[in-house]
This record gives sequence, structure tokens and C-alpha cells, in this order.
Amino acid sequence: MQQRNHLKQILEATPKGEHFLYTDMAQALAGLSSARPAAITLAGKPLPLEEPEADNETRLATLDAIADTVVADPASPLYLDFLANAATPSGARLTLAAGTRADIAVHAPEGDDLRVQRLVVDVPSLASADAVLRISSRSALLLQLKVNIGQGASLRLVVLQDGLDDKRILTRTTVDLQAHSRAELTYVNLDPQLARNEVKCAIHGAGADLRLNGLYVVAADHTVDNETLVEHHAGHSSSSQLFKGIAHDNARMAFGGLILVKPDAQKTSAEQTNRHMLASTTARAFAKPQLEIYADDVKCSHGATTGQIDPAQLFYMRQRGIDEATARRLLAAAFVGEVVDTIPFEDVKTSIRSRLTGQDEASL
Amino acid sequence: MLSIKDLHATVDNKEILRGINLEVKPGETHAIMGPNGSGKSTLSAVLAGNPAYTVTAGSVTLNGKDLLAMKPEDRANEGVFLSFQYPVEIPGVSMANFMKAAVNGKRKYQGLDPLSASDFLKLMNEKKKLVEIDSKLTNRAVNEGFSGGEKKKNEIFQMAMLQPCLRILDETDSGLDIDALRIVANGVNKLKTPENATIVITHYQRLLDYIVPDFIHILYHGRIVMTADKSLALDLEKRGYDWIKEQFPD
Repeated sequence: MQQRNHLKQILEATPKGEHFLYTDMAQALAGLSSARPAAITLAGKPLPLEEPEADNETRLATLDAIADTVVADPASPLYLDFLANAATPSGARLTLAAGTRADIAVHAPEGDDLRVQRLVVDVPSLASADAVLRISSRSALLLQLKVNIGQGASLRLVVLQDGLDDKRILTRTTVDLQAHSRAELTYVNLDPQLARNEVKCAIHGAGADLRLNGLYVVAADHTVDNETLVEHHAGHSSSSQLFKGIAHDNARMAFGGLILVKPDAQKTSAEQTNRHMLASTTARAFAKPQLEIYADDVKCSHGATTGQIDPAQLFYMRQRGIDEATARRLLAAAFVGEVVDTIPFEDVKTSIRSRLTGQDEASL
Repeated sequence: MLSIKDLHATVDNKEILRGINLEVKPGETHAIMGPNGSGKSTLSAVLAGNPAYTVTAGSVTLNGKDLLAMKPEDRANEGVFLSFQYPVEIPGVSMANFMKAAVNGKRKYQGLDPLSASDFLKLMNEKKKLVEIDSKLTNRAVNEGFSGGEKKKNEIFQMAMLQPCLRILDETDSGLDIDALRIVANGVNKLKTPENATIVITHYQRLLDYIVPDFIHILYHGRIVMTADKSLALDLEKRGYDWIKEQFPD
């Protein structure tokens, strides 16, 4: 009961401040009365949940302590951690076997609860594994994902939301990369009502390589917000980010990205690119690219652009008899095509392409 | 087929076309020549419906239908084809998808079902051979990284695919070497039928050796100031435009 009261207090608070600058958390969580676990499946079968680490009394006492600070500062990043802890003491844990692909789905059914899930994914040393994580939400979903990539291991992961009527989705990912490991992560959001992806990647060992990409399309009055933090703790490591988004109608999209290079991370190579296309005059785009570098022998870059559909391209297509709506759709799909091309799974690629262009491309 | 009456048009509030009159009948080829800045490209853009241009007076009908009231895509589907002076690069859109959207856009306009994938590929291969276009070009993105000659050949390929009734070639010869010019002109001639008509906009007489016009019109200061047969092109090549400018001080 005590837990519920705290949750209620938090849900009623309006978070302000930089951390949630582009996402209205009050709106995101409005109307939710309590938090319950979301469904999680692996290859269509429910994934077993682990037991809580501490006993319940201790856990609730800890939550109270967090709740006090959180309520005092509702814009604190701890806020969502608190929600996750409050709702699910347990979480799923998955060790990916080398050479396999795991198809994981997390779903929040209709209702007025916040659905919460926690998932830990381990990729053992020297293993190469793939995963597709499909997210769908008919109400509100908070997913906490922790990914551990062992020494010399590699992971290709797509976090995919492509449902036609997805509501509110919050994902918080932390990825830890050990020496000589490699990660290719892609976040895809195809017009959910509201999605916010927070991705924190930490490179702990030399020779690690991170590719972090994002693709998002928003229409109506919907919002997609991607916030990334890439930390280089060790030298001779590399990271690159490419986030491309399109906003139609009155939609909003945001990208905030920080590359943080620690003093010991000499010879780091890091880049970040964010490109936004506004497909209407009332859509809005926000970008906040940031670099924080504490080492003196590194190569880092960032770039952010916001543009519109090229009227010359649009006219050329219309002159060939392609109606304006189709031409705009093809041009928008072409704009984010660069990110689609990086997705390593053909089936995922094909389904995204056909969603984007509105035509069945498998036949060509 | 095409009837232009007293057409006036502006771009950025500057009047470029100042009363164009032109009748084009099926099977005819009309060349439009004139010094730089006389309004040649504006005329082609206005006929195609480029939204950057505003028509301030006059009328244009195509087969009796009011062309100026139509959206650019509807004009295209009624049979207006503009071969661009500078074909636009569209990275990320494959030629196959682009052509498929165009062909099926026209079929939809005509109330026909879309072509099946195999019929579409058959049509592409047939037209590729007809206009001597390299097969590899159609596997790439629209005009992306194409040479000047490849872009113009690609325009003719698209013309072959869409079979328009009114073909407007805007400075098709610019940026072409002699061999490419011959291939492009051959394509235009092969695709000529008694039912379609051609408007060739050019600076030079050279293209008209290959695409032989029935009429040559001189456009100057936004009006057609002279109409003659093909011998006029040779005259112009020798004498330039100065004698015309002198006749029509404005």
C-alpha cells in the first residue's frame, strides 16, 4: 500500500528539467494507476523470471528511501528506476548462445497500469549472437534492458517497435562492452504515440567497437525521443552513432547524444550523426549533440542537421506521374534507408521497408 | 493536341512569359530556340506544372482538357513528359521502385490494375534494349552518380516506359558528347508515333540534325517572335540572335 502511494505521488508529479526536456513525462504516464509486470516471451514462450535478490521488507524499505529523493526531485533519472523496482522485484535473464538469434517480445496489454519489465542479456566471452527485441504497447510500457557483452564477444541487436497502434513506450538500456567486443544496436520506432529510448553504452576495454543506430518516423501529434550516452573508459576503442528521423503532421522528434571520453581512453575514435527531416511545416525537431572529452589524443566528431523534403526531387517524381503522397512517402523512406541498410537481419529489413514505402518490395 | 493561348507566367514576381501562343498537332515536332533568358525553360516548367512558377493569364489545353487546372502528376498521367535539362538525383530510391511507382501511378489514373512484378520487369527489359541504356543503370538509385550522358539516356528510358503523348525535351543536348547525343536522339525518334508530338527546346542547331523539326519558333523576351521551317536553325547558327534582338527591341 505504501508502495502504491509513492507511485501515485510520482505519477502525479510533472517532471521538469533537462533530463526530460523533450518528453513530457506527466503526459507519458497520465492516467496510470499502478504498475504491473509486462509480458515477456522468447520465441513465443514466456520467459521465466528470476527471484528477487533481497527479501521484500528490505526492498520496500529501499524503495521508500529512493521514493523520498525522487519525489523531492521528480525530474531525477532515478524516477524510472524507482518505478521499475516498485513494480517488478524480479526480471528475466537470458544468456545468448553463440551463433544463435533470440527473438524476444515484450508486450504491454490494454489497461490503465504501467507495464514494467526488466531484462538482462548476457553475451559470453568470444560468443557471437543476434537478438531481435520486439516491443509493443497498448497502454504504457517501461522496459529496463541491461546488456553485458563479454571479452571478444559480439552482439547484433535490433530493438523494434513497428506496430500500427502502439501507445506509450519507455526503454532504458545500459550496455557494457568488455575488451575487443563488438555491438551493433539499432532502435526502430515506427510512429508510436510516444516513445523514449534512453541508451547508455559504456566501453570498458581496449579494442571494443560500438555501432549505435536509430530510425524513427512520427506522425499525427506523436513523439519519439532518443537519448544516448556513449562512455569510453578505455583507450583504442571506437564508437559510431547514426540516428535519422522523419516527422510528419504535428509530430515531434528529438535526439540528444553525449559522447564522454574519460582521461584513460586515449586513441578513442568516436562519431555521432543525427539527421532529421521535417515532412510538414508544423512538425518539430530537436537535437542536442554533445561531446565531453577528457583525453588529449582522440578523434571525435558530431553532426546534426534538420532539413526538409527537396522540392526539386518531389517535382521530378510528380512529373513522372507519382502522386504527391506516394512521392513524399518514397522520399521519406529513402531518407531513413541509410539506417535500414545497416540492419543485419533480412526479415526485419524487409518488413521495415514495406512499412515505410507502403508497397510490398519482396516482389522486386 | 496542345493549345497554348496568351500564356503569361511569373517566377518570384518577375514576368518571364508574356503572351505565348502555340498550337501543336499530333505527329508534329516543334523546336523552340532563343537566346539565354528568353523563357524557354520557363515554358517547359509551366507546362509540366512546376509549383515554383505562377501562371498569371492565358490558357493551355491538352486534348481539350484544361492543363493548368491539373496537378503535375495528373498532367503527367494525361501524357505530358518533361525531359529535364538537369535530371534530379534521388539517392535511396531505386530506379526499379521509382519506375514501378510511375507506371502504376499512370495505370491507377487510367483505372487499370497495377502491373505484376514479372510484367513490369519484362517491360523494363524491353524498353532498356530499345533506348540502348546500360542494364546496370536501372539497378542504381535514380540518377545518383550518373554521368551527364547517363542522366539524359535515363530520361529517354523513362519516356519509353511511360509512352507520353506530349514530349518536351528541355535542353536535352546540354552536357552530351556526340555519341550520347546520337543515342538520345535515336531514342526520341524511335519512340515517335503519328499520335505523339514533340517540343524540343535547344540553343543549338546540332540536335536538330538528329531530331528534325517541322517548325522552329524563336522565343524572345517571353514571346514567340518568329516561326519558320527547319532552315531557320542554320541561319541562326551563322548569324546568331542579334538580328532578331534588333528587330524586337523591348
